[in-house]
Amino acid sequence: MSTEERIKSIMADSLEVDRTLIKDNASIYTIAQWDSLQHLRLVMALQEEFGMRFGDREIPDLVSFAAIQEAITKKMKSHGKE
Amino acid sequence: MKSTYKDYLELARQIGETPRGTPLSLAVFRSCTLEPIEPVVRVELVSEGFAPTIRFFGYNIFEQELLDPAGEYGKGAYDVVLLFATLQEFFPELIYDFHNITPLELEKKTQEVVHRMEQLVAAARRTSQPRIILTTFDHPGRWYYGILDAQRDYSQKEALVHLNRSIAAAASRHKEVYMLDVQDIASRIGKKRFYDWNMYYHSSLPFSSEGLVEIGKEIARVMFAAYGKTKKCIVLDLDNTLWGGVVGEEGPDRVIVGPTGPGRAYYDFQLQLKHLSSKGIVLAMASKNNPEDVKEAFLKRKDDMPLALEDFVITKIGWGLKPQSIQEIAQELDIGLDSMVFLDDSPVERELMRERVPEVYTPELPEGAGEYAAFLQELHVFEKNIYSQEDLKKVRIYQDQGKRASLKQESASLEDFWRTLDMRLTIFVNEKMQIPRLAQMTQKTNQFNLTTKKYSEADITRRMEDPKWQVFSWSVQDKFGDNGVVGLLIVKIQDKKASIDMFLQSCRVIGRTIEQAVISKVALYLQEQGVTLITGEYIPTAKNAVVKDLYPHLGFTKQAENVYALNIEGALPFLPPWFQTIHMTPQQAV
Repeated sequence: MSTEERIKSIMADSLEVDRTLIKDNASIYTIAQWDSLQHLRLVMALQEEFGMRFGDREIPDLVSFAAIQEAITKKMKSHGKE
Repeated sequence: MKSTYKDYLELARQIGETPRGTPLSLAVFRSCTLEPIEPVVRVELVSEGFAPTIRFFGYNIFEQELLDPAGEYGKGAYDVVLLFATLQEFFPELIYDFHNITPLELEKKTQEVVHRMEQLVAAARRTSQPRIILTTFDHPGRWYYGILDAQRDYSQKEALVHLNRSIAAAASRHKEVYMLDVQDIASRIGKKRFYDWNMYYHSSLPFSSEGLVEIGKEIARVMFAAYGKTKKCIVLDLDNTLWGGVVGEEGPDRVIVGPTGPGRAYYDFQLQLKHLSSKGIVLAMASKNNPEDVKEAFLKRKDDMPLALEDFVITKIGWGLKPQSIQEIAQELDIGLDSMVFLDDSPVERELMRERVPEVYTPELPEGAGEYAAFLQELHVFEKNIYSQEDLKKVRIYQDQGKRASLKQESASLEDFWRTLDMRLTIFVNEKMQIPRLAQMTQKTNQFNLTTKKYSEADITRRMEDPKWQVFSWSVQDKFGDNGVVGLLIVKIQDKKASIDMFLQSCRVIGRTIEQAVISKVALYLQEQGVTLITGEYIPTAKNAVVKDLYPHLGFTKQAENVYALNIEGALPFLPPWFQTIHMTPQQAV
């Protein structure tokens, strides 16, 4: 699975929405179920899946598919460099 | 067995909102954010046959919610109430202000916390009688005085131990109050991995996903104990489960078990079983072996094994089917099949058990005996001993009488099971590559062995090269993997007559009709070579009673005592249709 697919599958499972609803523009504004508690489940599952942890100030920003993808790609790159 | 948080999210979605099962309601009061634990607890409970409803009450408001006469809590009745308390909220001085506390103040504050816990228990039971789970406290970081803590007159660590012990003591003063040992969970997986401080500062959730999964599983475990979802009897396999190796092949002196060296893994596993036995869990045995071998092993190796034969209330040793044995054990002990656990290293035996007796709990065994003891501890099904006095009495009677029930003949049809195994049989003719293995099998195979002759590699080579002789060997694959070369059949052909000189098979694959398929294919092969009669002899030894009646079973007729013959001029022996494929190699020229 690509990074994109992995993110989308985790979003679907933690936000409890159908996988097909997770489009590229999916965000806290387009998915009604995405409240602060679902957000915690999502962040935990993402951290686990990608073996990384987000900072306390990053966590509130991860509120769209695009933002999540960007944050994870960035972390993957910087980890790769280290 | 090892599930991630993501797995639980996925499973929770698959289960949906309304699973079937015994309704069970859980109310959660907590001093930290804990909601993400819900899918873990739910999945664990559903997998044990519950239909749970889990409700989280307000963040860090215990008394208000529990005591409010008009509040939500009082309106419902819950089966279980979890009071999840953290040090940060319940006893912050112990973390943040330890240097300012005198021992006297510490003790006073400890008693206050304990008192509060007891008040909460009483408040939760104001209108109904739920079972209650309290938690121990963990100190999330390093000690205030660092490495010097341990040497201080009153250390922070000691203060924490004292606090937890006081709460546990309070819990034991009340009925149906259980402890969720959060500190123990943290130490098992390690504080660094247990906590996630970014999550904590963002949302007051102190635990990592891994920590949450472990806490959730532990909550379920405590609830299983509270609800008596525990087992009474473990039925154990012997070879490669209680010791390493096959006693019928290696001999009692060579099986791997002992307090030192490589046998320690099995030794410690037996020790765990012994502990369970002393807690009232009944041990029973279901083994495919000769009873004499097993007796000899327990006698000769008694210093190497914590378990004695007498520790097993019932033993079923023989060549019958284990599902049959386990049903007999259940009957004799008069316990339900659903209170039994079956432990066997063989995936085929486990599959058969699950297929035939699904009520019996048949967990996967870990790869490698080194994990066995730890695996047994992790099994939550023995968490609470609910064995009644009467049951224990019955167990003792069995032990006193040394009752050893005999094995009944298998009865029901197994064809469906064999079919599900996807067995693929390959029969080799004079395959020189296998000579070392074949010679080794003649040395080691004592049970399924009609003539028990020991051949060297040279003996086998000579027979393969002599056109009067034919050496057949076979390997079996099934859906669990490749069993390798498991059997050997050697015939000598003279005047259209083939006499069986050697017929043996590894006892790992006994009971799967492989010998039937082999004799059928070999008969065809010999028939095409002009052979009209196959003869065979059973030479009894101390170990090979299992094949005493093999020839009549395969369709041979008795000629004299232990001498049999099969006419293959016309019809050939039955070829079992449940093999997925049967190959003969090299392909014979017709």
